[in-house]
Amino acid sequence: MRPILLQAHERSLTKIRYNREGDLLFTCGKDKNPCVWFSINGERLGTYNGHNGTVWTIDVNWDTTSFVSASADSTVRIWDVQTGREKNTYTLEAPARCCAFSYDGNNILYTNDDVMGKPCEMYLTDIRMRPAEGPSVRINVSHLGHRKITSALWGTLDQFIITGHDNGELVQWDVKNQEDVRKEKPHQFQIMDLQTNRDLTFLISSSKDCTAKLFDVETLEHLKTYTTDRPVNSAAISPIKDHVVLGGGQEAIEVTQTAAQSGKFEARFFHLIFEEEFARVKGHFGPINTVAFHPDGKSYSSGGEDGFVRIHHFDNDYLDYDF
Amino acid sequence: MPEQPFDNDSTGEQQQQQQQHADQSNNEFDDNSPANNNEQSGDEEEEEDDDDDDENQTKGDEDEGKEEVEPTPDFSDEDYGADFPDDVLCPELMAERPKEHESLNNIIVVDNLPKVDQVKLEKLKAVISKVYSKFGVCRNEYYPLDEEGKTKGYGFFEFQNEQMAIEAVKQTDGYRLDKNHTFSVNLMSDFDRLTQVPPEPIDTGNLFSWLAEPDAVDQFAVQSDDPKKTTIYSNALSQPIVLEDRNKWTENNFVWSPKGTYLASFHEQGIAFWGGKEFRQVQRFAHRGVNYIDFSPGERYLVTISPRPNNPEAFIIWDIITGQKKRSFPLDQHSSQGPSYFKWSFQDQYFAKQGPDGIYMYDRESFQLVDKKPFKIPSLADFQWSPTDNRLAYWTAEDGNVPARLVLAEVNGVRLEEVRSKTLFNVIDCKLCWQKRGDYLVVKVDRYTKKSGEKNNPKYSGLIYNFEIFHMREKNVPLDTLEVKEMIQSFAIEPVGHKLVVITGENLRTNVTFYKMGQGQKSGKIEPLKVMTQPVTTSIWAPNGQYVVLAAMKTGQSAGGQLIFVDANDMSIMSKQEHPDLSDVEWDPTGRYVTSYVTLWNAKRDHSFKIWTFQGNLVFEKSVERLVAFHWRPRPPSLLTEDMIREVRRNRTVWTPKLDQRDRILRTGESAKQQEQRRKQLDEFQRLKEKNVKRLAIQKQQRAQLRGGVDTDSLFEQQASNVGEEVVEFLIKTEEVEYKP
Repeated sequence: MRPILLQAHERSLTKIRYNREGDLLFTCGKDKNPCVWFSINGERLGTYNGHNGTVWTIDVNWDTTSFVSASADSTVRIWDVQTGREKNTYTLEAPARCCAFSYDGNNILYTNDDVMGKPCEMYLTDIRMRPAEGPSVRINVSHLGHRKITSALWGTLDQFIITGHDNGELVQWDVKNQEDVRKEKPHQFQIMDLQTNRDLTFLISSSKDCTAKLFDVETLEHLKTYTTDRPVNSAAISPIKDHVVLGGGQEAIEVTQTAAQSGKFEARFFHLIFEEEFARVKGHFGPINTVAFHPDGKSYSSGGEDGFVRIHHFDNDYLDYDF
Repeated sequence: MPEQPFDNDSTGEQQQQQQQHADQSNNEFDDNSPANNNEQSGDEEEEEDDDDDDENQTKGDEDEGKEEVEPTPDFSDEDYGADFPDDVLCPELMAERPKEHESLNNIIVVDNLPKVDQVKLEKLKAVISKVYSKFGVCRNEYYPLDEEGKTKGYGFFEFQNEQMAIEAVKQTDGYRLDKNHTFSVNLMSDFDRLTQVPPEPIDTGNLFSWLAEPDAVDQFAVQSDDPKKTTIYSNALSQPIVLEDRNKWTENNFVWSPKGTYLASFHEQGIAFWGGKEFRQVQRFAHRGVNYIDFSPGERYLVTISPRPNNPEAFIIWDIITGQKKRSFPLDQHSSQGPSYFKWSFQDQYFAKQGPDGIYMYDRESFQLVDKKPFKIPSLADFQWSPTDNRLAYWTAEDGNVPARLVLAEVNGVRLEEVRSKTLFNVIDCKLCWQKRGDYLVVKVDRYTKKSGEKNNPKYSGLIYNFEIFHMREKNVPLDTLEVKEMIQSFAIEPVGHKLVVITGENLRTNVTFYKMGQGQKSGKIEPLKVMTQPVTTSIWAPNGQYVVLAAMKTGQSAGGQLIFVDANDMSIMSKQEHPDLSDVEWDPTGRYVTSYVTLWNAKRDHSFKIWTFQGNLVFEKSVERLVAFHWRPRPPSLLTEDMIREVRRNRTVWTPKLDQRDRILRTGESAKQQEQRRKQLDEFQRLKEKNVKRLAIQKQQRAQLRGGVDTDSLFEQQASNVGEEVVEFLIKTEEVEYKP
């Protein structure tokens, strides 16, 4: 089936997210306004206007009432999904990088970059409190000897947090004691993205070292490796099949230096268990920055450096196909 | 761990040995070689130093302790002279002192004497004395006895002088005393030499074992840089299997020998050869700073080249099997920097180089110039040996009013006889190219119509290109001329067959033209068979002809990468493929597979190789980071005669089903193995999932609690049962329709 092309961002995409039911698709990019779309037909519902810089990460809570965005304008904002009104703004001392809703939807985590002489820090906040009261937890990540956090998410039952760092490190933090309890370095270079499967048991990391790796969420035990020949920017696990999709490609900064065909901006499908590539989907004309599976597993979306979001519905052949 | 070819412990020793070797061979073959002279003069200087400079005496002795046999005088003041040995005090007298070796030379050892007891000893002595008395007076005789008083079966006899002893050895070695006793006689002084049998060469196993592989699977080697790693694969049916994988096997490069027996690795100290089943070291050739090597086509000799300035041994020719240095040559001004400085004739009989005034041809018996002088050919530009005959082709450049000449010559004893020649005018350059079977010699000639500019830096315009084709197998070697209008990018002769592929044009606007050169077509016009307009740069024939790959290599701006597989029988394109940034294409030695590869030198990334069938179907691809070289292991030529090959062809229908069946068995075996592997992986992962499911079940309550009692675990299943169908309507198009009441 032909993909649905969403063209609303003037600049490259940074993150796309489905809500829990999968009827809505949230996107954000280097332009200032995150968007929300009907995932079924690609109709745009609206935008969340207010940020004044690149929006790096977005997340939506489980009942699709609130929506959080972290931006390079040094703010993290909570929005009302339905009305698009800003509910809360948290102002940081440096550009914000990551944000994520907890499982219960009451807490958020967010981080800022270690620029302008500021350390990289991670904050946890209950969104029901007023921003003026300040975050409930504030961890100075740089101070603990870790590099900048590039990706973060909540673990099982909101007991811990997993962060990916720009030196390829993976750290597990205990929420109660506010300390790093596990530390692995599975990647050589920066971790670009972390995603879990639907029931929060597996974790997939994507890295500039051209691999994506699968871990157990609780133990961070390394299970599988998916190797490509280009940096991997994002990877997602299919909710219904033992498949993963990897998005990436030659880095945007190098694209103009070589022939178009060698960019390899395809989404690649790997078998989760056998680690073998079995399909590629062409389309983007720049590297893919973010991919996400629809919660029903019957479609997936990718957002690229080229500013497009492509919603691909799988053919029945794929759904019937047993590897 | 592989053995280090030049590990540090043995290097010194080895080098010394090699040095001795070098001296020996120099003495044997080339007394006038500068290397030898240098060494001699060096020795003399050292000796002079000893005499002149007393101060340095002790120091010098320390340095050359091994060479100095005589004890060192001590020049300390106390007890001056007390320690002086006799030969310093009275050298004249001591010179007459009997020396050990003198008498040793007079003694002979006779083996295989009868073993006798005391009683018969006298009789034996009498018999033996009788044998030896005719050579001279026997000064002394000695029969060693064992514990029982019996002789041990050998004896020593001392003659008055060396000549007698030598004569005795000469005449009685092999002397039959009776039926059971044949003498084996040697000089005592030779004893050391004879007992020092060189250590048994390491058993390298059968060097040809790789050829005995039942499915005739070919091998190839892949080299990547930084970290340096060499991997040898066997191109098995389903996919290549790694046979050997070694880090730092070679310091910069590797080369297969022309018949594939050896893999040569390069090291600062020299070349090492590897072979046999486990690729163990079989030979090494110490030559410091070696950059290039070249083999004789029959794999008998190796030329190592170390092109450092002022190197008296820039070129060394080795016997591969014995590892002996045969001859060395200094770097001369005329030498080109490249591996094929010496060109070998087809059966390794001669090797020749281009000298300042002609061809310098050496023979492999003496390693000296044939007829002791070079073949004088004024303004010689290039020459090439025929791959199948003792013939060579050369051309001479234009010199003033003397036009260029193209000559085919035959080696006849010590002479070079012209067989055929052609005079050519206005020649800029010629390229000599022999067909693999030696049936054709194709010469590409670049000519001009106008010449301008200075003498040393001429400018040519109105270039014309043509081919001169020699039909070697026909009487009197007829010659054809083929005119080509456009610029020739490259050309290739069918190795077995009669076709010629010429790629003409500029950049990627190229035409590929197939010509038929002969067989029935006597000299005259050579007609093109087919012209294809394809953007390619090079054509590569399969080793047995018929199939040819047209490829576009990466050149400057264009990434190239097109691969076109052509069957030259009917000129059909079988397949078109791509491999961007293509560096080179190489056929396997049997012509079943082709590889295309991208190396570090050509592309920044995506270094990889792809293996295609001869029809152009992709069989295997692998990316190798920092790939620098890919080479198939060559095979020796087939031992089958033409008739036998024809026989096999005729019986193809008999063979095909058998081979097909064999392929099928191999394939299914492989896929069964793979399935087994997958099942294991699947089971393992399944256990992991079950563990997670259990954990999730335990935590179900807690999860629900976090989300206010709502069970969100099974979103879709729930919807299917509890929620009815919902019709959602979207406005897709708005259309304005005029209302007509």
